[in-house]
Amino acid sequence: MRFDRGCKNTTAAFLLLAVTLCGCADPPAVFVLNDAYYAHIERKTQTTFDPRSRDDIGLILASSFGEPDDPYVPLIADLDATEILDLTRVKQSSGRVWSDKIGIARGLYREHCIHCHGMSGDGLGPTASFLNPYPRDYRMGIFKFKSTGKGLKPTHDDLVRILTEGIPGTAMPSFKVLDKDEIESLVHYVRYLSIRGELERKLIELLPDVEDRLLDDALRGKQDDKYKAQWDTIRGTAREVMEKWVQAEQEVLPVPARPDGWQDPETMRASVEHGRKLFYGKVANCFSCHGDSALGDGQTQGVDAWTRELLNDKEQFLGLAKMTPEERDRFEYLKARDPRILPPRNIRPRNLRQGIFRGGRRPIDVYLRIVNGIDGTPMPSAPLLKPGEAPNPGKLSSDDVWSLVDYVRSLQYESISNPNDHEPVVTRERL
Amino acid sequence: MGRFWSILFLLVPVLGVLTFVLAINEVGPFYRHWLPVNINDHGGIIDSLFMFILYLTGVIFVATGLVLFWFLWKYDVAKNRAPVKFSHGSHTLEVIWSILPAATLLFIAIYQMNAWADAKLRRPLLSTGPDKTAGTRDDVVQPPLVEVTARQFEWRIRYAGSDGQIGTPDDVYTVNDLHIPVDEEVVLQLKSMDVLHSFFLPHMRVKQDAVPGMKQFLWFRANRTGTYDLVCAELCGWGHYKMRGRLYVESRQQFDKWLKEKFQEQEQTELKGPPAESAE
Amino acid sequence: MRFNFGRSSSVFCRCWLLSAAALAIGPGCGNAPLPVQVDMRRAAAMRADLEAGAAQSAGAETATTETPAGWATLKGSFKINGSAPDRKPQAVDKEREVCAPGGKTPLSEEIVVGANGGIRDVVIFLSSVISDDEPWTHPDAKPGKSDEVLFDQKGCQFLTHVLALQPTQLLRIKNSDPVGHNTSLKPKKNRQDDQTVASGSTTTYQAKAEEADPFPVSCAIHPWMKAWVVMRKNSYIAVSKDDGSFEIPNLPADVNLEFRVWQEKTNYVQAVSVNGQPQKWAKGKFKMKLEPSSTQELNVSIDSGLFSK
Repeated sequence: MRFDRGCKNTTAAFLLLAVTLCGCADPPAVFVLNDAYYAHIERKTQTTFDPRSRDDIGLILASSFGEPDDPYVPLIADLDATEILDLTRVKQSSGRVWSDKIGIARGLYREHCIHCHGMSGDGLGPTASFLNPYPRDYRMGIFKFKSTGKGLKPTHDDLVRILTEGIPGTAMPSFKVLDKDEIESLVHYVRYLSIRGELERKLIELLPDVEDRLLDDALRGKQDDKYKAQWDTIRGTAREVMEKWVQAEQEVLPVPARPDGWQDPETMRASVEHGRKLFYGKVANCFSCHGDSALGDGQTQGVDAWTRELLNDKEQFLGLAKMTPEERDRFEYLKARDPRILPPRNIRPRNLRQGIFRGGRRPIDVYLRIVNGIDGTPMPSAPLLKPGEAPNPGKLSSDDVWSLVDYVRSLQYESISNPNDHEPVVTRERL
Repeated sequence: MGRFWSILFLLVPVLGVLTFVLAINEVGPFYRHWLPVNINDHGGIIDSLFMFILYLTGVIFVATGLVLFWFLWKYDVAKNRAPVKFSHGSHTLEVIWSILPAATLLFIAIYQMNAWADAKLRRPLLSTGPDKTAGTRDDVVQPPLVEVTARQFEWRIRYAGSDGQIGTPDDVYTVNDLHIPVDEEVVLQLKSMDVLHSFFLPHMRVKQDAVPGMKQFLWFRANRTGTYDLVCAELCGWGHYKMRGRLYVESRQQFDKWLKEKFQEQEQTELKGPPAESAE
Repeated sequence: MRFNFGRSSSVFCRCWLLSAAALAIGPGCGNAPLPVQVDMRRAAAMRADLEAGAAQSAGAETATTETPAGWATLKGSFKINGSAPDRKPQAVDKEREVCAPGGKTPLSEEIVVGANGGIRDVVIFLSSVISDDEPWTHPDAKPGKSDEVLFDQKGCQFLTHVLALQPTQLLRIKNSDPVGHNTSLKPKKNRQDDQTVASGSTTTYQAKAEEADPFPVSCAIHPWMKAWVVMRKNSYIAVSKDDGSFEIPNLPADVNLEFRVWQEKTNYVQAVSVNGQPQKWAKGKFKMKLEPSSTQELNVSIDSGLFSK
């Protein structure tokens, strides 16, 4: 075939076209408004918010937190938040991925986290739809695996631990290969996203009751009292959110020591037996959700806090296949406003026979899960006797809880949990 | 057209050889592009096989490239006006270039049988004796020291602990953190929790696909301490590129000490745990 | 200049052109979500202002000039206009011998209408911010009550569907069932609580601040169980009874007061008919001034259509 002029022209044309259009793909690095929550509050209060409110909220958040490539820390005069939001550390994780002359890696969040957790920390990154469980949405300010009680924020060490150990049984990997400084930076950035997201939610919650606008930019620079009052409200709300983080370090539950002698097999066996009785007893009630065989099949209709919002605060969800027309209609309504949201799912109680403990498998981890419950999930806190309180048949002592811990940790080694794991040759196995 | 193109074709074997020479000597941009150092006693044969095939195919590659260049140069239409000569085949030639490659392949097949058997079939036997090298008990295979379960996207590693048995309460669990004692035959048990992965230790020349539903064994004997890579070598999803771990080869005492410390940490019952590990 | 796209090899080239164009356009301009277009220059300017100390605290709000003169009572009823929607049976999937005794599944308490059309469990409370002392707040309704309020559950139902109390009162949660429950309280301002309550046992919860909205109470083990708590500083709250009637005594008279009405299914009640006149209560709020030593009748009719969404 001769390369004739006709073909040459065509080839030139397509090359030109390809070159012109190939730069089209990069989306801009901006935070995305929590449209699902906006729509939820609109519907809940049966109001239609002023369309300018979206811009107002965007402006408030942008002037308090900046943008993904250039973050700020909110200015709250009488709250020392450098422990929880250090701007240098936040900056190291923000922006595009590159490393400077000394070799310090930057843009860490975008390198490691964004594809699951999303630009705004909303758990709606590109890979999120493939995962079960979904990645965490930081914007509710709820974290599951921590050393503080329900409704409280995690401590710094809790977050460092999650990053270092990962969460077994989920797609959250362990980041042990990162430097300590990089992990610190990421923890600050996660808090940054969480505080930003929670403030956004609280601002949206203020919208039904706000007099005119949350913030009127036109009043800036005019020494207007109304403008100052607006900023007062905003600052008060931001401080409510940030205070909880600052206080988290003091809210760690004191853990009484495990009874001595646990290394002795006889003592351990007795403890496990006691734990088993408590597991199936009426005080701890573990079996009622975790199932008679501890397989996690005792209660399969529960939902976590993030899904509950998609279902208009209902606690019971029968699954996608059995969604009621009401639930489906509501989900479609939310999805029309925020196309990225993912379908609701049940949260199942842990299958304790697998030996996978998401918050960690150390005895202290299991103790904390039992005593504190797991925030954002139906796992409740155990009815623990307070220190100095008289023994009460309706409550558990800390020794009781340690026995429960021993029992739960022993479940994976029972022979019914692992049918044929002990052959010495290459075998097929049932998963 | 013409002889200009034949020069271009000559560049292929020339640049190929040049790249190879630069890479094997780790010059300039080819720093750390060649094979990583082999630390497995059983790994030398893999390297020998690799180099043998590389040189064999390399010689043929260069020869073919040169011959192609020669024909392009000699029979360029601008310089060669002689009429085309058609050949009606040559039985001798056909026989030669069938038998020679077949013989080479047969040679390679037999040469590698031992390597294959060593890596896949001859599982180390349990050795008795104080230094673990004096004789072996013929009928008992060495139990695995470590169970590695591949999972999207991490390596979940479980050590047998002091009782030497995997699946008991004294097992030590880590993620992406594989410790091995040096100068000992080590057997690993490999499983997958979800999809196909491949357990690859480049410095050990060990690679084994982790097949869901199968429990497999692999073994090696490290002869040098240090920190090495563990990577996944079978595309397993979006996180395949980051499914990496670290292999630490250390002395037996260090290994035992580390295992004990890890177990203590695992049995931690206080919030203020042992001091954080040094950055890895 | 004429472009000759050729004939002999043109089909081949044309196909390449089309597919290349499609490949180039397709992935490039995908459906990214529409972010809020924040003008970063405005944001940066505002930030610079804030850093320079602008918009510092505005100071306290000016106090109202009104003074109450005596006390009054607000009473009335909430009735439905139209036919009451059916109460759906709850999805009781476990422990049926306790939670569905006699095989009868309990009905949802989302909207309960009595024989006379009265709507049960409608909350009306004073949403104005007023001083805690006389003449604004009557001693009977004063904040700071420290007694206990009992919240019990039996037959896998919370016995009080809507509970009203002050944050200073101690909430005692009881479980009178033979099975265990866990009572999960989800307030917004106060600390969330979620404790397992053993059969026959009690546990307590102490709040600190008042809540702007009623908050839900649930049980994880029995997820159909639901109740609500209205937590306000003073006791100017009423929850309508079975016949839809309510009464709030000892309200400050002769001053402008703002009330708010809430029902579980409609959230804040916005479209009503009061004494025959249709009214719009934006966000469930309405204003009223009560005559001293009087009893104001407020008969509210709520359209049944609001409960059927």
